[in-house]
Order: sequence, then C-alpha cells, then structure tokens
Amino acid sequence: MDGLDLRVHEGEVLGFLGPNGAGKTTTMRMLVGLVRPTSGRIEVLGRPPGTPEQLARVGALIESPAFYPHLSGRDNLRLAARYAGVPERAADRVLAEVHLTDRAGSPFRTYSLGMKQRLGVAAALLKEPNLLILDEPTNGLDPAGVTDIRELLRALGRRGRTVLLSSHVLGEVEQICDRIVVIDAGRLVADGTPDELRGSLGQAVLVIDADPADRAADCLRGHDGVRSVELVDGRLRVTTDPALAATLNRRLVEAGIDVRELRPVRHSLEEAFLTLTAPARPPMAEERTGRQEPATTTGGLR
Amino acid sequence: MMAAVRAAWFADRKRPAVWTVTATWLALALVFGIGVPYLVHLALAGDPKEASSAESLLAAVLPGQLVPTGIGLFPLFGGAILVILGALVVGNEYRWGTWNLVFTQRPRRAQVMAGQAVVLCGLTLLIAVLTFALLALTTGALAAAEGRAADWPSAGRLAAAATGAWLICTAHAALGWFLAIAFRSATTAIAVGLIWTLVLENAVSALALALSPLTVVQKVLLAPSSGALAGALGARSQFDGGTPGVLESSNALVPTLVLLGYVLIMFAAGGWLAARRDVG
Repeated sequence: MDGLDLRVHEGEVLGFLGPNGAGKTTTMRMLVGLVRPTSGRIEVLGRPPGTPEQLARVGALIESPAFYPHLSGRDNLRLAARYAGVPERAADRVLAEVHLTDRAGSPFRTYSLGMKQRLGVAAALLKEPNLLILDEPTNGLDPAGVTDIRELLRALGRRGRTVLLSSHVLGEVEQICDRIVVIDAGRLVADGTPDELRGSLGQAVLVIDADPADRAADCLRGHDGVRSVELVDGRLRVTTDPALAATLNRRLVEAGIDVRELRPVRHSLEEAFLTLTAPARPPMAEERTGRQEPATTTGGLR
Repeated sequence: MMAAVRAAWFADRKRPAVWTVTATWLALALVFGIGVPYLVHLALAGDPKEASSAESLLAAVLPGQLVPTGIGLFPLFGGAILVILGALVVGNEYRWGTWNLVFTQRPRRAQVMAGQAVVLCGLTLLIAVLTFALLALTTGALAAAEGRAADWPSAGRLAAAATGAWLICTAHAALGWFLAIAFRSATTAIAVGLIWTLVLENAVSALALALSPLTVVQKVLLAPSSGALAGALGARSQFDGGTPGVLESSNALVPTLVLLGYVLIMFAAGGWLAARRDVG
C-alpha cells in the first residue's frame, strides 16, 4: 500500500475496487489486524485493528472462506461464536440468513464453493457487527445465490450497517454500493458515487438516428456544447452533455431532418474502472479525492 | 482468555487427528509395554533354561512394575508421538487457513495462543492418565489370569509417575507446537521434530559416552532429559535391559527443570511468533 487514505462513512455500503494485485485484500487484512502496515495509522471504529474492542464490532470475510473441514457448518460457527464471546445460538440465526440451515449439519469439506461462500458471509454476520468487510462475497455463487447475497447486503445497508465490499462484478457493485473507491498499485485513484465515477470519463454520447444522416451531422457540428459528431453504422454518435438532447432534437427538426431515435448512452462503470486503472494513465488520486471529502468520520474508518 | 480456552477445546476435541494420535499411542503403549514382553514370556516359559528370563518378563507386566513399565514408555515412543500431536493441533490451522477465522473474532492473538497451549496441556494430561489407567487395567487382568498377587504401587508413586509422564508429553508436544508455528506447517514440523528428538539428540547422547564435554549439552536436551526423568522415577535404563530412551538417573530435579523450561520456552516462543507475524 502506498499512502492510502480511506474513509468509510457510517451506514454506507462502500464498493472497494481495483485490478488484481492492487492491494484490496491486503488493505482488508490490515483493517482486521491480520497484516500490520509498515508505516502509517489505521483506525477502525475508532480503535486500532486487531484489538478485542475493534474485532467485536467487525465481521469479515477475506479471500476464500476458510473453516475446519471436519466440522459441520454449524459447528464452525459455534466455534467462531465461542471465540467471539457471542451465544452459540447465533449460529442458527445467521445460517438461516444465508439460507444454509438445511446443510448446517454437513461437514464443511462437503460444501460446494457457493455454500462455503455463504458460510463465510454467515460467519461475518455472527457478531451482528457495525462494520462488515466482505472480499468477493458472491464468488462462486449461482445467480440465485448472488441475488440472495445482494439483497442481504442491501438490507444490511438499510439497517444502518456499514459495509466495505470488494468485488470484481461491477454490475453488483453498481447496484449495491452508495460510494465506490478504486485503488491501483496500492494507491487511491478514484472515490465517488457510481454516477460520479461514470461521469469522470467526461461527456456522454447521444446516439441519433436521423434522416438524412449526413445533413444531420453537418447541422450539429459547430453547435454549442457539441464536442464531436461521428457517423457510425448510419447513426450519429454525438459527444455532448445529455442535457442538450432536447435542444439538438429541436434544431434537427427545425432543419427539416426526421429524427427517428435520440437516446443518451452513459459510460458504464466498467469503462470508468478500466480507464481509471489503465497502466498508462497517471494517478488521479488528488483530483478525485479532493471533491469527495467526507462530511464526518465519526464512527467510520480512517 | 476463558473464551479462547473453551473455543480451543471445542476445536481440539472434534479434531480427528487428536484422537487418532491418542489411540495410536495407547495401542503402542499396550503392545510395547505389555504385549511384546508377555508374548516373549509365553515363548520362553516352556524352556527351563530361560525360566528366570521368563519370570522377569512376567513380573514386568504385573501391577508391581506398573510405574517403571509405564514411565519407561514415554521418553522415546511417547515423545515422538507427542511431537506429532503438538504439530498437528496448530499446524493444520495454517494448512486450512483458519487463523483468518480465529484471529478476527475477538480475543487478542496472544490469548488465542494461550488458550491453545492450555488445551494442549490438558490433552497431554489426559494421555498420561489414560496410559497409566490402561496399563493398570491390563496388568491387573494379567495378574488375575496368571494367578499372581496384584502388588499395586502406592498412590503417591503412581501420581509422581503420571506427573512425570505428563511433563515429558507436554515438553514434546510443546516442541511440535512451536515448530509448526515456526514453519507454518504441520508436516515440516513433524519431520524436523522427529529428526531432532530421535536422531540428533540420540546422536549427541551416544557421542557423550565417548566425549565427556558433551554430557553438559546432553543434560539440556529434550530426549535425554525425558529419559533421565523416567530413570529417576524407576524405569530401567536401556543399558540395563530396560526401554530404549531411558537413562540411569537418581536425580529428578534437573531433568524436571529442563523439561519445564522446554514447556515454557516453546509455548512462549510459539505464542510470540504467532502473535507477531502477519497472517495470509
């Protein structure tokens, strides 16, 4: 990690993105005290990582779920409950939350990857933590399982739980997370809402199906706010502010051009992610973190 | 701390390796402590020229010799088995990656490791007591079968032998425990631990017979100290027709202190390493 300054606001679901090897898992390990930073300071919920007071309020699933293979899912959770100092009956509650009650008595070694992942999420929920740290929680889950976990995370967010979620499934992050941070090579490269990240790529594109297309292109070139006009497969791709859509439509109609379709195409989060983490791109931490200064860090992570 | 002990006990009592190793040790103790001498006795019993040998072999498997027969098994055979046990209970945490789960619950790592050490001490106590209980049952049964008087040792002598056996077991288990943490692997710890206790330490002991300066080194080694404690508690030395690994000794204090030192140093060093190093 290289000077990473990460703040998670209380009650938000924060997406934590980065390419392989960017340092996401290392960061998460540091947040629960499994790895110590060589320099700098970490506070989680106002406490240093790895202290009993901090761990009591944090649930974590980091990398692949690791449990005792000969113990059943329920016994693994009962064991974790003993260490955590929570009642062993909490195991059944969280097993039900991740829909694993039916196989709770089976040895962990007989679980599928998806079931192991569910058990990992269950273990993270065991302490009813204020902060959940989840590293690829839907890895290996079937579509129904992904939906279940997504709904569970949304519900946790609604209940005011703070969630730090790492995932390579950008659609999932986009749907669940209030805010996203992107790191690359151990450094923060972006921090904002999904819309802000998409918007960081610049103006969106309007796709216009007009007849005649070449006259429409000439008509729009030079219009205020239009940066470029391209003719692709018989349609115009106009790089501009989507708010100008109505104005441009009026101009084309007034010029006697038929407009059959006009729709804005927003940049995807994937495009934003790939651009932000492209090897040739210089770091953007300063320009992006500057406008995302949190209003408060009380009860958060810094 | 109590939460860590309760959790470690929960994990260890459900760990198949613990009961496999315990059952293997009890079977070995029965076979080498009672079975083999008794079978040889039966083989020699019909030969008048071997009558005294047959009689001494029978005496060794009767209640009167319970203490020397029992304690004599621990230095070599028991020690090796207990190194394996100590390595398995902690080494598999690295193989399965379960430190991630354990270290992110609530107790400090030092408390987790202390809990593990306490439970391991409990297991070694159980093994020492079970061994003497099993040998007592068997020797009593043999005395009844052979029509001999059951001349049981005093409770104090039996308790001293069981305590000595516990110390030998715990010192060896602590070595395996420390090595598993140091190497982050049960298999490497078992290999190194067995080579150390069975090969290197015995080689030093053998060399000490010829090179007297090595006797000082020998006194602080694990296997020779275990053998000396067993000898002090009544076991016959290997040079006196007794069990391999047992050394003639009249002083239990020095080997006891050395073994206690091993227990404390190995647990402290292992706990310190596990608490200090990064996980993952």
